[in-house]
Amino acid sequence: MRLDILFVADVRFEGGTSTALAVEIRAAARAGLKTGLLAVKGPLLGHPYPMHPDLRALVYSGATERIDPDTKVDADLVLLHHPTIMSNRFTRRTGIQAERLVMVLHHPMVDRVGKLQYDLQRVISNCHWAFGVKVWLAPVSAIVRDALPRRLPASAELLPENWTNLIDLDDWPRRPDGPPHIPVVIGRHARPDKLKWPSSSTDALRIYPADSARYSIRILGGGSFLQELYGPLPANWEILPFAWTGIPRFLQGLDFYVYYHSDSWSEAFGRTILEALAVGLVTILPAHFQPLFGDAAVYAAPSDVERIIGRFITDDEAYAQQSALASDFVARHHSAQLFPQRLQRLFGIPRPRDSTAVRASMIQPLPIRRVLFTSTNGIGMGHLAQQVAVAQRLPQGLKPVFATMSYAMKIATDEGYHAHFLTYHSGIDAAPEDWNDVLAEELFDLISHLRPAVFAYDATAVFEGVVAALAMDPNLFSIWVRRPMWRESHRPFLEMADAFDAVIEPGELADEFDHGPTKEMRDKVLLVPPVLHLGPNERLERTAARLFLDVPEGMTVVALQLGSGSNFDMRSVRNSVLKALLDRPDTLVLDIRSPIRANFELDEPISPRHRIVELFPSFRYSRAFDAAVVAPGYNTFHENILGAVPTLFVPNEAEEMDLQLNRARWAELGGFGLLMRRDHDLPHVGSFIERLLDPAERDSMAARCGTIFWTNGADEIADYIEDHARIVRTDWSVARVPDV
Amino acid sequence: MRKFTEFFLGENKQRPQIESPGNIHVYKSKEDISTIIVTVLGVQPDLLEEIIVTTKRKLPGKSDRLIYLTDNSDFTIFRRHRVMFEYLPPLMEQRLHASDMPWQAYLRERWGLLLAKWRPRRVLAYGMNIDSFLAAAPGALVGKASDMPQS
Repeated sequence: MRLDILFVADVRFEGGTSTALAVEIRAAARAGLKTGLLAVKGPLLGHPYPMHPDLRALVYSGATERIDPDTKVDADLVLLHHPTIMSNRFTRRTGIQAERLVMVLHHPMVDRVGKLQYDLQRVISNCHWAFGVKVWLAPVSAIVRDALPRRLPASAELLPENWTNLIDLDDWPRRPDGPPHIPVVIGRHARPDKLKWPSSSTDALRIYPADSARYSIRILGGGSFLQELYGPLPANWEILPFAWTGIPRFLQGLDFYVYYHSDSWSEAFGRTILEALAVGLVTILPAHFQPLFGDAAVYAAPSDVERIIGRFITDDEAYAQQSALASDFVARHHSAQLFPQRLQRLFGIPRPRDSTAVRASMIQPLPIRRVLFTSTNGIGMGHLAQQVAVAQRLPQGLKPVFATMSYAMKIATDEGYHAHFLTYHSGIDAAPEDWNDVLAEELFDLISHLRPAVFAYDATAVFEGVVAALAMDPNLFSIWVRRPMWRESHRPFLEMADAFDAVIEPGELADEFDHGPTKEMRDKVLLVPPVLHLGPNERLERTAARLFLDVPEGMTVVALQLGSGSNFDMRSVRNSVLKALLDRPDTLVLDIRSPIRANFELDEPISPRHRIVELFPSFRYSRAFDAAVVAPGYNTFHENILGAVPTLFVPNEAEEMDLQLNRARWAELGGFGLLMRRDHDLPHVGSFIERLLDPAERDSMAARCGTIFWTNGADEIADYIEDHARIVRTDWSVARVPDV
Repeated sequence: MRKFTEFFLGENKQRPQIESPGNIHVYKSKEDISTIIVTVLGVQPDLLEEIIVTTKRKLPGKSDRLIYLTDNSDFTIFRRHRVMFEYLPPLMEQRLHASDMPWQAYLRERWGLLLAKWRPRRVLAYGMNIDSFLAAAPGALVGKASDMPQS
């Protein structure tokens, strides 16, 4: 594949680095250049961030091509963003031939207190190793340029001009003309980081005054760290969480943009400032930004900020003039339209080419990558069903393979997937330590033959055998998907998170009622919305579902799904519920049994209106149901709530189970469903069933459920897997690991 | 990790060898348990019931465990009879997913690993025997070398 530019970047950066990259990609596409994007997982980010949404949108829109490390690429220019991603060597070979390599330095080599931010010598050496050409250094500002050593490492040279940040002016419409509001709205935005804030509370309150009669302070990208830094915050500070979208609108609502950061932070450029200037905000900054933004901003010490704001408030003309200076400056020096000129001026790109050869080189499918989905057994088959939901959403080019301990493996093979079965120690009466040794071998064997790019593990328990197998292949990107609502007894498994590259937590509607140990780990995981195997809209229509289930006209259908009962005896519940339901002559009970239930004893229907059925996935037919009585395991709970099935939840309260009672309580108190506890409420089963089948009550529950906004977390997990299936890793040093 | 093929697959692959099998054994700490592997590869599902009933009846001792090796992804019959089982993907699926891995190499290794895992004192075959099953597996990897991620 022949490219004008190959962008190489850690696409997970959530701030200015990714935004600047996105602007360059878009500008290159507009100029008709053919570009690709190679994702690197660098060592800087520990949090399992997904790909930056701007970059994902560009890949999906075709503005740039996702590049697999094995794709043969001839690039006129490799533009590598951020030096830290080359702190270690590429841990695999790539198929890239670069004519010229430019490394954009988004950050000074040393910060303001003299701390080394990256080892330039090492970075250059690693670049040279990976691409085999000289490295042109492109500092984003004079601050970054000045921090470079006078004598550069061998194989490195400095570009004659700075690689200033660019901005798409169309994305940042000017704020409406007019004088400031009363009270004056002062604002700022930045990723949530203490270093992005003034070091002392005294300075912070001078810059962002607490006088609510005169000022309203709006902060995008705040968080609990601000209280840690300053103590209780003034009432006129409106704190908004960091966001990737909606920033232009946020800026348009401000009168002044005031940005000061920590004394120990060295801001290489200040992309957020550029965004504020583009909108035409009167911007007040510390004096050290003057070389970067000239007369586009106003510079002041913290103690002078209020005085300067006061001057502009009383002089509308000065305010309008400063606003115009700001946006004019951005248009002249930082417009994305300048990007093609920069490429032409510095590198003579684009080069004239034979158009036939270019077209031929564009059509190249990405090589197939395999994703190994591994799951444990669980009482039900929820882990496997969740993985099937994700597998179904993977794009072409990623091939799912399953290795599961679930007896329901057939649901994967029935869907056409390649699947393997792993025995579980309790199923074969083995000692866990013996079994773990075997499991490690079995997994390693599968991994070494299959050579997957991603290992996705879905379970509460992480076994030593899994950890041992993963340790054998540090380049295999591993993800642990674990649901919330853990009991305290599961806590030891949390320590196993370190064995994985990322932890993903599917969302929980009853999140507020989750007090389990995973709650403390939220800042270390990727949270996604609740995952469903089938979305509510993927169900059969009511008429078709009732036809399939052969439901006679006029019958009220109640689904009964109380789980296997192997660890929490539900027989008394089943019998009482059945009796109460069947006492009503218009009721048909579908007693849904798991195809992998532990108890295979034959039991007979107790009435012609009692049908025992194996139905998977039962949710597909749930529009046929008028109500349900179920145990609120993760899948069934979310299906019934999001599918607006009026439901009586009977939690399995066994010690080893998740916090089903809390889910059911959330539903009961929110009007989404009803709760009946086996040991507390069973004598009143009649009144529960009466309430469940009351048409007004059912309508009310369904209506409440219908108000919940939901997107399927399976889509986000699939995206995340896709992001990591074609990465080059530099987050560990291949030169320093022991022999594995 | 070890390669098990050479430990177990000798001249007569159907019969376990006596060489040192490495250190994995799923009943390492339960040495009184002995095992018999019953391969039911390619057996019609409606015949499995009879095979299980028959082999269970003929099981010689209380400490013996039967492990059925099936290529049927529906495990209901084994679970209903409360017997242990292992699974190998059937030939049809191997062919369907032929480019996923070098099947023959994998299955030979897998069989060696199963022998190391269970240390069976006997292997009984119903349906296709393990040699034929392994020999029928897709041989060479269909995917190009460039499809393989490098570690």
